[in-house]
Amino acid sequence: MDFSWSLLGQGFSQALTPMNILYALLGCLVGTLVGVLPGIGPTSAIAILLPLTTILPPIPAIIMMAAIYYGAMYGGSTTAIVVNIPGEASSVPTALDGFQLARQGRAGAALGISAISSFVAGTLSLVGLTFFAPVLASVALAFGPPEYFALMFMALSLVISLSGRALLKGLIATAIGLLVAMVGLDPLTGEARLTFGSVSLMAGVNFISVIIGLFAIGEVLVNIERAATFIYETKVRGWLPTLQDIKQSLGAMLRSTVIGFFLGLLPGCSPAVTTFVAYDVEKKVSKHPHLFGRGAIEGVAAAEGANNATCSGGFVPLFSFGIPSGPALAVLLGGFMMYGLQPGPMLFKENPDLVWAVIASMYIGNCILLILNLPLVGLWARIALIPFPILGPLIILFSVIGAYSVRFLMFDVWVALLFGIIGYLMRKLGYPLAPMVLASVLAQMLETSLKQSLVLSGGSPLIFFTRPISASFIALAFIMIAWGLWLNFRGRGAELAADDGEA
Amino acid sequence: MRTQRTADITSGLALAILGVISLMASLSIHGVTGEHLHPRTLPLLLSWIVLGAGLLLSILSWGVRGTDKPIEWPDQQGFKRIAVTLASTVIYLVLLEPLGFSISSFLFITFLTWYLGRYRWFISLGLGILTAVTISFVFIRFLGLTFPTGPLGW
Repeated sequence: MDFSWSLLGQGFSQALTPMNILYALLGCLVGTLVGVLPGIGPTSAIAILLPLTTILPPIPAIIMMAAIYYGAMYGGSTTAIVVNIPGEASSVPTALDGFQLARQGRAGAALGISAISSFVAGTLSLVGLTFFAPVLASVALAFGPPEYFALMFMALSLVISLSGRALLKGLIATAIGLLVAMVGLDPLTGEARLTFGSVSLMAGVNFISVIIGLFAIGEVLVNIERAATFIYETKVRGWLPTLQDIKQSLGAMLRSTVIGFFLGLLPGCSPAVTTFVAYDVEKKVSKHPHLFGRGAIEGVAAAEGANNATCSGGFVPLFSFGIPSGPALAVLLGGFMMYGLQPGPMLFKENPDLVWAVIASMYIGNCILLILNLPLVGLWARIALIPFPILGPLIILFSVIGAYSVRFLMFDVWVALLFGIIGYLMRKLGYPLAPMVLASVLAQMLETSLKQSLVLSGGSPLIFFTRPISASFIALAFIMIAWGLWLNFRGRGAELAADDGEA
Repeated sequence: MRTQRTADITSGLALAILGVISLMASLSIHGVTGEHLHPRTLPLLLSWIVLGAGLLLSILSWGVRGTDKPIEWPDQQGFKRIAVTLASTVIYLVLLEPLGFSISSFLFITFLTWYLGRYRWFISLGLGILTAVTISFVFIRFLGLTFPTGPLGW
């Protein structure tokens, strides 16, 4: 199951059908829109739209969902540069230098470099995804249930350890995410669990409703309390950067691609984390670090490059192992599950047309986004002007539609509202959201692989320590927990805190 | 819960209570004997984690001394906006099935945009009508989703 040019070629022929180009374009438009608009991000958008896309065949639906995710990475920079309002947490480093450049009358150059860097990093890391994912999937073919359990255990440990100072809160969020997913009937025995006698709870708590609540409704409540309104003052002139700007940013684009891609392979290392790392590295290698924060164009290039490279990098573990690295990809994994598909090595073997069509569509999507973002940047910046008193109620409305469309049950909508309040409180009290989302999506696979492993071993948990790959993952998990504890103890965790944002 | 310390103590205790409730519910899960992984094993383990970690969070926060970070709660107006938003969402959900998706969404959008933005009544009304028409045509007629349609069939 190595990389094959003919499979990639077939993927392109699928992705280039008018229908699939249309859905990629639609996904790019929605992604850029949610990236531009504060208060809604790719996780909420994918979660809301996911149930509605079930009327589509899987290929266009997954192409559109993926495009929303990477499209949001492009859109987030626009408002960060023009109005100093990062649409996503990952756009905060972009705002540091981008807005300063805008104040100096160079908003166009900053936006241009942001789009070019996003395109370069996005495309280069897609090459990484194209060659890396099938190789890793071949390795994953040797995995049995113990290896999968150990891998998921490691992924959750890493996400918890990246909660930084909030390590204990990360652990609690993970445990609650798993507990919520266990409400309902046991998948193997059919035994009712944690239902408190309620018939509605017998069918379980749908994770899409949980995510819509935590991200979309929770974020609306945070913005409503601030009475957020936006002021658009900066005029965008000349969206093309100079040759000198490109020359100055080229190194930053390439370095941030490498950093973003490889960190993006790790669960918990969402774009919000890697953009800061890439920005920091660029500041350290720069000959004029004093300009960072005052309008260094390399700062914009580094942040935006890392942002997009992480996004593509995250698809590698998703496609190869079926492990999402962040909340948005966890929802995308849910999308695969809704179609009865299980990302992982078998996906490359059994549904190569789907995997390669999605990968090919991402190359096309990057080109679409470059076209959408360079000439239309003024339009996107104006969209950010939609006042929150209009946007907020509309996000709630679409959340209700999304939650209801999952199973056409009002129960799911009430669950979304409840988790909206929980999400609001978690943000206020400093509990990370990412571990809870990842846990609720991975719970069923985690429990199934644990059960299968114990059946294989006749009930002995030693199976996880006697098989080399699974033992390595378990050992890595313990090292990560120890590392998290050390960071917690040293008080440096806040710098590495897991992304509470959308990506 | 004005500062991080008091918030952590309180939320830790609340989580410990949640852990106890979950523990009790987990203990009542039945299963067949001879299974390698009893259906209650994981819920029980996770409930213990929530209970233990909640208590630990409270105890550790209790011992914190020095400067304490304040929690940015909204002012009175902010709380009022949240309360009205939540109340109108609850009413919207209650009315959704009897009135249908389009009419209840019209009422929800008209009221909430007017309340949050203090727009002139016809702007909010226009937004409400636009939303209702969009829902009716896009989601119910075009996408064919089986949303509650209410007495008027909308």
